Amino acid sequence: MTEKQINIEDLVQDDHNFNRGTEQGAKLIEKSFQDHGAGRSVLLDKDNRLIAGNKATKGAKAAGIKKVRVIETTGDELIAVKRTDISLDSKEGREMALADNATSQVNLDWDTTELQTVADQYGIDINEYKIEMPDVAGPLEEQGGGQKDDSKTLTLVFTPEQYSFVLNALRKYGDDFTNSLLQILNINV
Amino acid sequence: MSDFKDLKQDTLNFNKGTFEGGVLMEHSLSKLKAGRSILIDKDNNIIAGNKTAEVAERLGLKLRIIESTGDELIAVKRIDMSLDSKEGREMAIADNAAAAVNLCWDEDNLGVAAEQFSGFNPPDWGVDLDKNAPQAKSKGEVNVGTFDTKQEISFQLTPAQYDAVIKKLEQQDENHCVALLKILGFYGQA
Repeated sequence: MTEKQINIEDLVQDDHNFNRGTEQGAKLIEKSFQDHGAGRSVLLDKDNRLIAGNKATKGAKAAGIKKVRVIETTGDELIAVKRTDISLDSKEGREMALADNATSQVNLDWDTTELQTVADQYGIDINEYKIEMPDVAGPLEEQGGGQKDDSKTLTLVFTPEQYSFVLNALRKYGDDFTNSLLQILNINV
Repeated sequence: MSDFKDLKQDTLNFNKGTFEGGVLMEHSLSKLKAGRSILIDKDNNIIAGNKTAEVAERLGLKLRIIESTGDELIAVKRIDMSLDSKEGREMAIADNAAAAVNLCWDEDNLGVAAEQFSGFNPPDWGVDLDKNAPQAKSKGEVNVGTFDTKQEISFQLTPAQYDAVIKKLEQQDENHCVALLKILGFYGQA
């Protein structure tokens, strides 16, 4: 597989980005590029459209990065970007580790409308990705066939060890945890 | 081509990860194969992507190391994938979702790093240990891990189902969490 160098302007932003991003997130991404340079890669499709890293690309541009090294793959290998100038056991290395997680967290603001539209278009099951969608009356509810407005939420809080144990037990009955719970308790109402 | 055995997991990882996040990463890597890169330092210590590397090795993926000094952006280009396809769109979802679901800050390790490295200050990066994580959680969009390491599971039930579930649980214990754990055999196994 080949490597090529292109201009950052050649990367095409996703016109249906599921992540709106946040103001604070954008600032942190830019700060990370300015303080430490580029870290993890972004991800492109075959036409140089950004699958992941739309906001990182904007942050890189804002921080003055102009060049992009493109590594072509078919997904059978994991790419590791090796920063030959950085040690993990330094303030810089530790900040990069922190920034990677923190910027993902702070910058995430799901565009659930866009997500639902695209999921419907391509037949993607959003539940597979554990994204909680807002309660919006769907066609079933609009026809009076649904019970969603009356639904009640039971939330149980566990320690990590208990949580893993319970998730494993629920998964034995399928991916819909409510159905799993009802089966475990032998409830059929 | 490099070997995963050359990579070293971070012994002071700030992210404990979550069980659900691990499952999601495994699901994503086996279904869609590798996406974004991980990040390693000059000595092959993993800076970002510890869990991804672990799962990728288990799934039998190969490893390719690309050296950089951070002055250019690295882009992994999936030449077999179009963004305008089910796989492309799922990859975009998975990238955000896996990171969010797998995040569970390790306060102890953050504290150790803050003592060890002068000027290392988590609040500079939006991580406020005193506030815990509810701001992220209150968005109600992704159930991210919390700083207090407690983790929730929510069930959406009809009123009749809710009443029946509560009744069953309270036959075991007035604490609903303890009741479910008893039913599932957690205490017998612990």
